[in-house]
Amino acid sequence: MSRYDAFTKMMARAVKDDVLPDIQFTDVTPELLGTSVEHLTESNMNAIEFPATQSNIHTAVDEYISLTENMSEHYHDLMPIRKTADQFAKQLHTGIRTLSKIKSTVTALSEKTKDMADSIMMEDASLAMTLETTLDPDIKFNKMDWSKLDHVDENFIFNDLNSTIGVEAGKAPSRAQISILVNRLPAATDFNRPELKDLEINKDAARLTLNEVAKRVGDKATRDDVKHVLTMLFSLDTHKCNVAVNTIRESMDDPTKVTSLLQMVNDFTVVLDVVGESTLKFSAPTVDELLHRKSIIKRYVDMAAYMCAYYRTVVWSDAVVVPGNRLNPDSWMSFRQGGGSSLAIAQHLACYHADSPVPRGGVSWQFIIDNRDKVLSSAKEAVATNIADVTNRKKTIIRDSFIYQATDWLNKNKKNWSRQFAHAGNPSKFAEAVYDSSIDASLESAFYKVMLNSCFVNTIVGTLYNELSDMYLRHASAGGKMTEVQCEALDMTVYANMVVKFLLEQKMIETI
Amino acid sequence: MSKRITKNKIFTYAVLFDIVRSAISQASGETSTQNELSIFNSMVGTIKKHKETEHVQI
Repeated sequence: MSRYDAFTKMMARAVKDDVLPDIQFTDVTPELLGTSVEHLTESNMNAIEFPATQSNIHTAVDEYISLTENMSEHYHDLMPIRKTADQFAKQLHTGIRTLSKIKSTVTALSEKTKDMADSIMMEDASLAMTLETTLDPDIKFNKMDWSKLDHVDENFIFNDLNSTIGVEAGKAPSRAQISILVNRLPAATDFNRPELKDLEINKDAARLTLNEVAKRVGDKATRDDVKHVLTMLFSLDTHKCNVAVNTIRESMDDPTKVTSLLQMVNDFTVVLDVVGESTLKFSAPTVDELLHRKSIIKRYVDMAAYMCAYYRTVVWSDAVVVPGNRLNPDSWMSFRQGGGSSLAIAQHLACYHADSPVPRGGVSWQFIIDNRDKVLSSAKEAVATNIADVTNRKKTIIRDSFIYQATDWLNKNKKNWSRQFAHAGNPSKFAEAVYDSSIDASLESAFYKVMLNSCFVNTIVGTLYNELSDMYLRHASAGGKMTEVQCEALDMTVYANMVVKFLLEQKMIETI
Repeated sequence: MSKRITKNKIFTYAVLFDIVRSAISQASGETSTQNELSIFNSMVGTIKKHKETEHVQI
């Protein structure tokens, strides 16, 4: 079996079908082609026509084999043109390898996009119903960070302050009673304005104080936290007192303020605990005034801790979701044991609180579990009655997920951007434009466009991709799934086409 | 009447086929007989298309 069997067969068929144009190697680069190639392919002896039967062609091919194998001069004469073609082959090889790597990245990015879109859709029960997945993803929520109360005994403060307004232990204070406590705070009304003396803060003493307090606080707070609290202490005035009172007062109506209160408790408690005569490096009168201010601030911090405890133990005692769509870790275990999941919370919120916020009292874990069936049946109804809306929402989610992933990839690969792309350089706008122009194509195809038009502009990789996808599209439109052998044949077709085009463009061969 | 051909034409195509096959082998590995059929067809198709386009340009 000869290496030219396929060639001989195809030559015979091509002559028979009359599809074989006349070609010749050009003399554009004679030093490259060598004279012997001309002798080989254009000698007068060989210009004599004969019937193109398979056996005649076979004989001619055998003669060619013998000439190239036995005559070293021809072999050497063929080398330069082979070398040039081989250089192109190297580029092609790099292109194929790069394209293969791109393919892996495209597949990974498409998967990530689908997963991202799926998990977003899962959070909406009506969209979740249209998905084929049975996953129960762990959806992340912001949580109430009760650990910020770790440095205070908020229950003691709560009961202690309650006892001053006649609330019995174990009973919840009324709004009016809480208002009394707030109004007792320094600067809360015109009747209890704090007396604050003007202070000249010595910079050196302030720095020494900062160093000493920071040292004693250790790793419980950062130096910046310490600085923040001491600055408040040194500069406390009526305005700052009013701001503190207002934040606490507003939290009565706006439970989302609780997160600010938690922060206040956390920041001030640790630092104020070590502020005292031994750490304040000022003159005695200044120290007296600063300790007076500390006691004022402490009142605010205690009241902040009181409000946190009030919401935590009274208002949200059985809530698993609180205003601001935050998860209440206190109820999480009960909710989980009752059969709840983060997905159920997300779908509940999408169903009941898409347009209206979570109420002041939060959403109880039992309520979410009791209404689970209702959420699912209303989702079913939504899918049945408004499929267009569901479809549009899904499309938007997929688009947003694509833009997110593509932009993320572009930003991470900034160093590989082609010069032309770097000039335009707005990754998210580019990702949007690519998606919107590939609306009927697959995610994979859109990701190819993103990568090829950003990091591989005007390279063989882009040409190779376009040629291959054109070829595959043509064959795919003919229908049926292609086998591996068929795919390989298409790849070969494209590679051969590119090599021949290259030789034609280089004018190493021409048609006559 | 059967079609006619010259050795020159056969040799020219054989040289070209050798070059293209060798380039593709370098780029994507050894070629099979099946692949060679695809390579030959593609080679002829590309040249034919080039010739037609060239004529249009003229």
